[in-house]
Amino acid sequence: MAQVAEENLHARRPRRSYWRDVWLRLRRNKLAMVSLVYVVLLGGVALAAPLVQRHDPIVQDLEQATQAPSRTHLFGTDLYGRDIFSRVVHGTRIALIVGIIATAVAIVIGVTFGGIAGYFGGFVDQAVIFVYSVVATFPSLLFILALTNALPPVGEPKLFKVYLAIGLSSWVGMCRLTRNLFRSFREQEYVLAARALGAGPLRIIFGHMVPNMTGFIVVAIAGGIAGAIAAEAGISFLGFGVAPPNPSWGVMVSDGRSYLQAAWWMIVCPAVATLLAVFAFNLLADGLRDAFDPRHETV
Amino acid sequence: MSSYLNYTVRRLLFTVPILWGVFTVTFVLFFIVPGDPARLLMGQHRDAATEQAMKVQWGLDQPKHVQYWNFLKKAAVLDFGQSFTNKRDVRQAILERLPATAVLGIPSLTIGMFLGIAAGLWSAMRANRAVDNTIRFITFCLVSVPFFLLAILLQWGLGQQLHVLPIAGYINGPWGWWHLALPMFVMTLGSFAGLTRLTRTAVLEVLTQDYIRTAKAKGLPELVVVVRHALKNAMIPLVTSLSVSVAATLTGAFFVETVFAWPGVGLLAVDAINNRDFPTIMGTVMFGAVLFVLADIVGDLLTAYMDPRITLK
Repeated sequence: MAQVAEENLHARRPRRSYWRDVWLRLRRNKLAMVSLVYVVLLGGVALAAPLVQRHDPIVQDLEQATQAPSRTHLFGTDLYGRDIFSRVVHGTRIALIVGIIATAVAIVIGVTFGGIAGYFGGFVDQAVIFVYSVVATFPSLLFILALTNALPPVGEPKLFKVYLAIGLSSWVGMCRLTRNLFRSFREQEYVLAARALGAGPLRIIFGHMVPNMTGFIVVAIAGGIAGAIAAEAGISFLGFGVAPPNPSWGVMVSDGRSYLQAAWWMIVCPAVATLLAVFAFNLLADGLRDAFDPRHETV
Repeated sequence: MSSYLNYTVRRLLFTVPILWGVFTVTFVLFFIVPGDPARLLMGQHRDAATEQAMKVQWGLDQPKHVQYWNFLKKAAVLDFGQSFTNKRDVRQAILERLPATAVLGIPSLTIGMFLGIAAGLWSAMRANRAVDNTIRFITFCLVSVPFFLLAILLQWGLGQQLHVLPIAGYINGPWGWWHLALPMFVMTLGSFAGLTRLTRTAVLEVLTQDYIRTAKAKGLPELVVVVRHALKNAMIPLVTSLSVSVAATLTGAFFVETVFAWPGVGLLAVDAINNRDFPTIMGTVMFGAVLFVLADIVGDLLTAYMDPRITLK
């Protein structure tokens, strides 16, 4: 009898891989799918920026300064006659690179420290808690600005330190989550089995335990990119971020702020680009969270 | 009661190494890595004699570890010395700016909290219905919008286009209180959005529990069940994350004070970083850190008071 029931179950539900399951659940979420399409589109635009642009994003042409949107300049031009459409397109590159580098830094640090703390416990755990308490107690914006001040200008065009600073200031959440997860993983049989087979701590942490939190990591990547894009825009707005000729959305917004009345397109276009990108990544993160953990669906 | 006192004292002791950590990180980031503050302050037009005089005046001629120790000794009693840029006492400058930030931050956080709890509750009671979806949509947008963009947007819309509210500046003259309106509105929106989402999740979590079903089965009206029974427990995560709310308010203040030219501690910090005014930077960093630590302790004490399952140890 039991066997029949089991066979029926198999007949009704074909075998699917974990990832396919996640994908099928994600596909049902319209908002998340629209966001995913937009994110892919952003990626495409960033990769093909030189092909998409219609003018040079940096070269100035003062005769064309502050022109309203038109056929030649889709989003108008700024004070120096630079084509805003091309600058927004190139800004996509900066935004995505910020998002990816900052998030990668934050996740690698967070998972490594959190994993070690959760796995070993004891003194190591206390030490990691101390470090992340210090970082969490630091006013976050001042921490990013302090790091930006201190890091040597690396890479071209000297933006890398801003990305690094955002990453170095945003790993605490991931570290705390990993630590808590690992404290429960530690008690589970597969860890015991791995240990019995002679696996060392590093192998157990990165080979067995980290793969068990893939879902959390994927969600954190999407959410982290949204946060990093917003953070970069904010820092650039305060004047500490990406250096001027580079077309960062935050710099463009802050440049355009004084000309809201006279030339609205200077601020509206980059602001909308920032908003859409942050919305898309956040919505995607929400969708992924539901897709990875169907039991915890938003009720 | 003594257990609360005991706990508070021990928590306060534990904050000492944390604050020391924040101090040290700030010192390293500003004082050691990017070179000589005196040289940075002099900028383009430096001459050796003046530079040396400045160094002696601020004790910058001494070895780094002596500077560190001198600074730490004074910082331990919240004395951060004089500002590099205007030679004013840093602690006094912060205390002078504090009312402006408080008059903006405290009401915004309080109003945002009340409205957030109300909206979150309403949202959870009507889960997945039109009201809920609307509230979730609005709060999602508010949470995602970079804070400075929200501030600029409202400054432009309400201040410049509709001319309803003054766009910038501090309270001044009989109608001066109006200057508070826009920045406070922006800050309130910020805390409102976060707390609404938190409340909604917490209430939904509580609503599935047995004692709520019992209360409903007794025939209590829905509002009584939710407000008297569910809310009490749903408040706990909100209170626990008090420090997070305070930190978010402070970060918000940096942007709001910059956009609205509001002379608070946030603007002081941003200006200090612009001028590499190290004592002021240290002062504002430590101010934020102390505020965060205190909010964290208060949050934990309130949590223990509200949740009898938690024992302070």
